[in-house]
Amino acid sequence: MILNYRTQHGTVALSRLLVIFLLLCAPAYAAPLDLKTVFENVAVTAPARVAFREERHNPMLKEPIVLTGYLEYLKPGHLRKVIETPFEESFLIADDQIEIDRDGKVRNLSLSKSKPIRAMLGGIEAILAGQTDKLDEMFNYELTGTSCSWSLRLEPRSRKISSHLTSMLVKGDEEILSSIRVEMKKGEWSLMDILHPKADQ
Amino acid sequence: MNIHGGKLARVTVLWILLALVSAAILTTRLQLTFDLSAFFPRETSLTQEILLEQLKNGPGSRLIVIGLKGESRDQLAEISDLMKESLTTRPDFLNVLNGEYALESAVIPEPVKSYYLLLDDIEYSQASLDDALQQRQRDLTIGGSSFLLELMARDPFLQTLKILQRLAPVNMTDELWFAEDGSAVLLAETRAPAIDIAAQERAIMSIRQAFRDSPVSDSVQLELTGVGAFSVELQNTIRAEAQKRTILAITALLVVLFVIYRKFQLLLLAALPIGMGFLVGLATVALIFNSVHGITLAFGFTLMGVAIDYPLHLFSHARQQTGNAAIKLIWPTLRVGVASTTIAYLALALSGSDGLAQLGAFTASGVIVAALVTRYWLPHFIAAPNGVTTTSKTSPRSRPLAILPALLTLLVTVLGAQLLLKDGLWEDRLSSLSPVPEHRLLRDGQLRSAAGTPDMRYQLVLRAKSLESLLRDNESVDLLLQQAAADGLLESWQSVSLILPSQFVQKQRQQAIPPTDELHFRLQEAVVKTPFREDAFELFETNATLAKSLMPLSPALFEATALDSWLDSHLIQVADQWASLISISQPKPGELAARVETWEQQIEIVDLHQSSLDLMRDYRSDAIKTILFASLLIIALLLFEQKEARRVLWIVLTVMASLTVTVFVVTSLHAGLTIIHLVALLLVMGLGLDYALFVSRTETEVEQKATRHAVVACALTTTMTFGILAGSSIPMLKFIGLTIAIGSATSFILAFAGSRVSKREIS
Repeated sequence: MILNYRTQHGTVALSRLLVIFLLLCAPAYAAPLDLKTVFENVAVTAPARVAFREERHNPMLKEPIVLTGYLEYLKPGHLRKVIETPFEESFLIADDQIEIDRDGKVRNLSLSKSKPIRAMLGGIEAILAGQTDKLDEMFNYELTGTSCSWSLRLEPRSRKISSHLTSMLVKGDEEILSSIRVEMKKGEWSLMDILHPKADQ
Repeated sequence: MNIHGGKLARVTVLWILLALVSAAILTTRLQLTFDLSAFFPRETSLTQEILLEQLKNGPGSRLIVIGLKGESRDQLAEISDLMKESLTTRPDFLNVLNGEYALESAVIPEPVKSYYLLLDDIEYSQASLDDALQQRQRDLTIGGSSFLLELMARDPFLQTLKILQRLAPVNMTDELWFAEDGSAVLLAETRAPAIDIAAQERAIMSIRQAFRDSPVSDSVQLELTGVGAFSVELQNTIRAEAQKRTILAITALLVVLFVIYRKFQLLLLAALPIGMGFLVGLATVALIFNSVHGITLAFGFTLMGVAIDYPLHLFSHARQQTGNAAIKLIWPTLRVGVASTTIAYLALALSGSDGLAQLGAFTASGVIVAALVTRYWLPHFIAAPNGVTTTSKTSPRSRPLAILPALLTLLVTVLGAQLLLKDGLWEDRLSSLSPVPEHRLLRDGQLRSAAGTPDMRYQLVLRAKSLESLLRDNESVDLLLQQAAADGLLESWQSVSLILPSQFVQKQRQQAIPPTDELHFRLQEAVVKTPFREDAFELFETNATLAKSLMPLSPALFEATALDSWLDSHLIQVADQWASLISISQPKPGELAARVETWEQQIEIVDLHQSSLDLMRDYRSDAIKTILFASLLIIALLLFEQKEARRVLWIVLTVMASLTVTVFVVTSLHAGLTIIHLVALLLVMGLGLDYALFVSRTETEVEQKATRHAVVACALTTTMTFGILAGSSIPMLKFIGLTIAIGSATSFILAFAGSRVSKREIS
């Protein structure tokens, strides 16, 4: 939240922020940054919902497709991505299934297409649920920054998934995830900004 | 020996010359095949021809089923994915499936790649293009498939995917296949037919290589089943098993022969007729047929088991006299036996299949040569033993022959069969001929069911005089089938129309493609409503223009493409007709048949299971007819030779009784007789005749002793060696072994029971 403000205000705000930053983050700063702490900070108890804005870039497009909607963490193992604009569509990852609802028609998407999205949503869920083991199972990861401003770079362990999805860069602070950038093969990439509930209001 | 020295040398030179000529023929002409279909009957009706075509070349037969087990599901899934990816790139395979429909590994085969716009009705209206582009825009929001991007650019309707999905040999569930026991399952469809063993072997080596290349922990086991895999496996196991059993049997044979005759020299001599028979028999087959089947080689040798009896008779009778004297005594009897056996095998050569014809020709010529060697070569080697007791003083006397034992046995067995054998005498399932061990077939079924391969039992067969009218009819039938499927008469079907529309329809579809400018205009209209770049679908525009002037798609354009064999298994030309084979899944056979009957096209539903039963029945009754005819010939021969009706009656009855007992026992043990049993029964007939002919001879007391000695030796060696074969795991070997072991023992017992002898004669 604080970091969001930092981007909007100028350098004057920055010095003030630094003080707060030091005050807030001092204990964590002293300790080495570890995944467990980060996860404990951003963990969410189901049910929860956050809005997002996503840009999708692709060489076939003259301009990126901008999607807005929300992510819904229904219960452990159940995460839903609901697109509201420019069209309505939702993906539900539930246990080991992925369901796509396009114009009221529910279908299971072929795995080859859904594997990257399953990996992506699965990774987000692992972070939200604070499941370090699950994340470790799916990705090689590298955590950098501070607990107030960290970035987690994920690379899929599965060779098959990595043939579509090169990497994910998840950024966040001590409270929430703020953005997820996904790099895919052949010049495709997307950036999803998580809109904080308070900032949203 | 000295007296005969010169003659022996001359005879020996002649035989060695024959052996050399045979060897020369073999080295230049012998070509082994392991094509099992040689043992299928020569086709008769159209449906049977279709059946055999399907067995030999059908899509089901080209599937190698791959099972992976021994690790966690996730690990197996990873290996399954990797193997699929690596195998897809190999030229040996048309299709490698593991349940997932993987876009990125899908290669678009010709002629689908060029003709995709002509293989289905496509709507090019503004609304349709608008809708397609909207859908594709949404597909992009999922992302992650570079294949999809490339495909979209040339095919915004994703028509190609629909076509490829419909061509898949199984219903794709989009979930990895796992069998009930947790094995991951893949299906690899080979480019080569199952009967091309060399190609199948290469394919299997590719699979094993891909398995080794994947990160496999040692605990993962690879299993391969399917027609091709079995053929390759059989080529090796038949060889190994036949070798092992043959070595065992021959060793046992040598030991017993040594115990009986106590002369090492005789063991070597016994090998002469068998060896020469084998060599010349094989050379004969190589001369007559283009290639010799592996089974002819393996089993023909065992069928020559009757030939070992010839030297044994000679040896037993030569214990008291010179070889030449002995052979003169027994030759008339031996000759009849040889002639009868030859008639039986020649009958076999004239019936049924190429494989059986080879077996018949091989054994008949082998037996004749073995007999001739025994008659004209061996005796020269056997000098009179020391302390010779020359010919017996007693005069020859005929033996009292009792008909009752054979008659009683015959009646009791027939009665017992009536009571006990409720399932019928014959095993007509084509699979019973399969030399594949039952547990392997069962495993194949288990793995396949995980993949949900369609039941190939029912097919629709549509016929027409010309290709174009067949394809037009097929298009009408497709519409009718659509209705039938909607009415629940079947689940789905695949027909040639999927990839080969009639020229008429192709022309219609070409005309439906808008002119270049018009299409460009409509496409631009659609593109502006999306974020797509203006030139995103340029490739589609180019292809559409090209498609308008493509020359019509014809079967010739499938040659040497990945879809060649798909077409072959759905479209065949029989004589002056064309036939379309429509595979159907989950039909309600009765109702569908009734519905199909009302259609005006020349179409029928074929039950491949039923027609395979019919086929085997025809095959078998053909074989039986020929054998019965041969039996009559043999009886005539006996009457002509023996002129003694009572003796002939006794011989015929004894042989019939032992055959009946053998059939009864074997049927009870093997759940039915197959054509293989029939072949083995021919040998039993030969042995039975041989024993019966000898024990019913009119001889002196000394000769009788020699005869008993010989027949005991023959029966003992035959029962033992074939008993060893009966222990094999390969059905064909087991069938032959057991039938002959039981037959030999029964023939021996009945022959002795029927020829009463006084106690003092038993030595």
